Amino acid sequence: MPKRLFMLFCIALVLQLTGCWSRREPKTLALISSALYDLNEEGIYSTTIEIINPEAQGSPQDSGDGKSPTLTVSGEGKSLPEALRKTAESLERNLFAGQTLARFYTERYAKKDIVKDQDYFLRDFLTDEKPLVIILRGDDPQLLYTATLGLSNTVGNYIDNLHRTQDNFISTAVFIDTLMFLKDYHREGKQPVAGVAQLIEDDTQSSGNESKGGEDSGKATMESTGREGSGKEDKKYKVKYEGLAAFKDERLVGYLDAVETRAYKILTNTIGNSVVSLTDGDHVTALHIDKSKASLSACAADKGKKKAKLDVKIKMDISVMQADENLDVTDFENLKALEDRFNKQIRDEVLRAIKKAQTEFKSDIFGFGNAMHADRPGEWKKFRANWDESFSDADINIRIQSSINRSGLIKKTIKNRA
Amino acid sequence: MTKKPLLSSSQLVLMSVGSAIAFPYTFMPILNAPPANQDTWIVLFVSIIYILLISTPLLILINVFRGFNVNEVLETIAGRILGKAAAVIFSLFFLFCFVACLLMAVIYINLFILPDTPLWALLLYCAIPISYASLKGAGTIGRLAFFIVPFVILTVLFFFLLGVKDIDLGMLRPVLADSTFLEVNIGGFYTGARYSEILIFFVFSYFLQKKARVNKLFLTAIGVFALSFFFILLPILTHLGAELARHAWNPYFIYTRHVEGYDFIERVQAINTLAWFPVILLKLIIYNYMASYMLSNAANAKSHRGCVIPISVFGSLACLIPLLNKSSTVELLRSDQVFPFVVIPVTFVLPLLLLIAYFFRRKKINKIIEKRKHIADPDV
Repeated sequence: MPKRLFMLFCIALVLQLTGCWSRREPKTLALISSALYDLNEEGIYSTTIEIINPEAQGSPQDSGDGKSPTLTVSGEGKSLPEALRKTAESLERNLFAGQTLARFYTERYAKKDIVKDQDYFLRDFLTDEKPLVIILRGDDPQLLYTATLGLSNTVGNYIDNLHRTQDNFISTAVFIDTLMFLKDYHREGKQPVAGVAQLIEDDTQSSGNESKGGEDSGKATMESTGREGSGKEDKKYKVKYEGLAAFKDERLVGYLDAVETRAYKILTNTIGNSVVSLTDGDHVTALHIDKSKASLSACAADKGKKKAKLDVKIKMDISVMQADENLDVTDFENLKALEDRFNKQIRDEVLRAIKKAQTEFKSDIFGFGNAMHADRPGEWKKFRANWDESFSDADINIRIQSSINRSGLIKKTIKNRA
Repeated sequence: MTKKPLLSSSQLVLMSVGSAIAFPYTFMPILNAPPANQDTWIVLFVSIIYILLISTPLLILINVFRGFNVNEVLETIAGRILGKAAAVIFSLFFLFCFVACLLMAVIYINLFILPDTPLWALLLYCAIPISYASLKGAGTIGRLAFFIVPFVILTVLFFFLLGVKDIDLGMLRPVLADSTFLEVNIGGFYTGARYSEILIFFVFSYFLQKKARVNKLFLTAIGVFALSFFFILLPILTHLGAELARHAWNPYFIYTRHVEGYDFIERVQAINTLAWFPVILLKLIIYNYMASYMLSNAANAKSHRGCVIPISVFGSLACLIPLLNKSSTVELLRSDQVFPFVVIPVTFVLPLLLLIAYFFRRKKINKIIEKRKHIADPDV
């Protein structure tokens, strides 16, 4: 009898292999690669999501089977979740946001408040805090899903690939995921920042996604949004991912350009590799930042007063990538002069970025307040309530120390003849 | 008569660690305990002192009454009627812990893993293994702990090591500047007061090999628990930050979602779930067994087996009550307003009263103990 019961039990166990109530068959899922969120003046949310079409992935787009690697659908609602659900009205699959790589927010939405809607992303079962937070600049955000995308198939993949390859290579853009964004939002003395994407006209001849967004791309829902009337059919756009969006609490307050963003990355110790070109008339020397370590500190400028003083110390290891014809990199004096020029240029860039945050944004995106909180908690208590105002009026002192340690595989410049 | 199962020292230590680590693995009450800021890691170490203080009365009793089962201890100290009453109090506490833990487990599963699966199905899939292992008794539970808990500790180390590169120790600064001595101690007390695993030693030390030293085992269990807890807490504080982590239902799960390494290790939160489910089942099994054991002893039943299934059924039915099956109820239950004040009377107040009673009656009780030892070993 026990043997028979055991056998029955084992057979019953097989029934479990069919899966639980929450099972999702991949073929019934609409995998979201990226999403674009907008909020209009009437307070209506609009969501456009880019869905991966697995059947068309990997196949040439002009193969004639009529299948595009992605599909974009849009929806509107009074709340973000409602707008997202509305996108699924004419979709025969279940939305699956677990693979979302990027969330784009329009400029006008970001100027209102994007933090309150992050609540949904953290609260919902299928959404999470991994996607990148990106502000989309420009008047026609819907063009995003018609843009050419280099070698990638989807906007989400394009941004993700940029993140993996370019973040440490160019250092003129930031890649901030939702968790980092919210962490900075909650951090004392540090304001959040986000990535910036902009759509610019594409003059290049060919790209892997040339037909994407065109008439044959199969993006029926996009065509039905009426954008053909915008008169931009003949123009091609590409995504320019560069710079940084600065926030003050939950609102977008401005942008840093590429050079200022590099300064931001130097100040926050997030810079990877970067090339700095030193120009002197027609002569150009290119230096490579190998290592950078910045120490920020902030303190009261005068005892008892509310004015703060910001102190920046940056130590850098650099190497020569390209020497101009007049530069002999084997000469110590030349290298010292080059280091001084480099220091001055970086100092100017850093100062420009901090000044912009002080005067235009009035927002401490660099974390000087956080440094004061950590180093001088007693002083921080006096500044805490109005730190951004104190930051805006603060004096800045920048010290940069760089050292050229390597000069590449050749000695004197190759242009010099005996 | 069936032979009394024997537990090895490591099995008992792992049972205690597994039961204690289940809650930090599921949620982080310490993050909301005062001072609720970057100094939380200090609160953890302060809480260890409180755990030792709170557990001392019971630890003394366990040492004095080695070889006695719980009911014998209670009846020897407090007499038959008061001893039974004390046993019922312990039983009710274990029952409360069982129901509360089951409720947290199923709501957690419902929130994070299986949102569409009906509650009855979740309860059924929990209740069957719990009842089976609990019916099998202390030996089986010890062996289960020996398999499950090292795996859980390994996952903690795995997540910690893979997250080391993202640890920003600056998130822990300033140290002790935003917290007062009192706040750190209140937080340490609340966290320490949640620790009820000394009761595992109280119940299961009866099954422990004679040569094992309970004090050493208890200190080992506390040490392993504290280290494991620290390796869970540190990445949360440095990766998420204290403020953001406080908002999360399960900050450790969120942290594990972000663990990546070597370009191919990503989305490894499944390992978190894979470790969490067995360890929470182990905790439930231990509490089910302890509740059954105490109830059966209080009722003079020959075996705990008769109580196991009714307790599982009771726990499951309680979880189905609409009032209890709410996130807000679980939030209240696990908060510092409820849990420490339920645990402290059972882990500290009642044992302290028993200890006082023992000191008043120690001559008579010592004779009983000597007599018992003589029967067990006539050469003594």
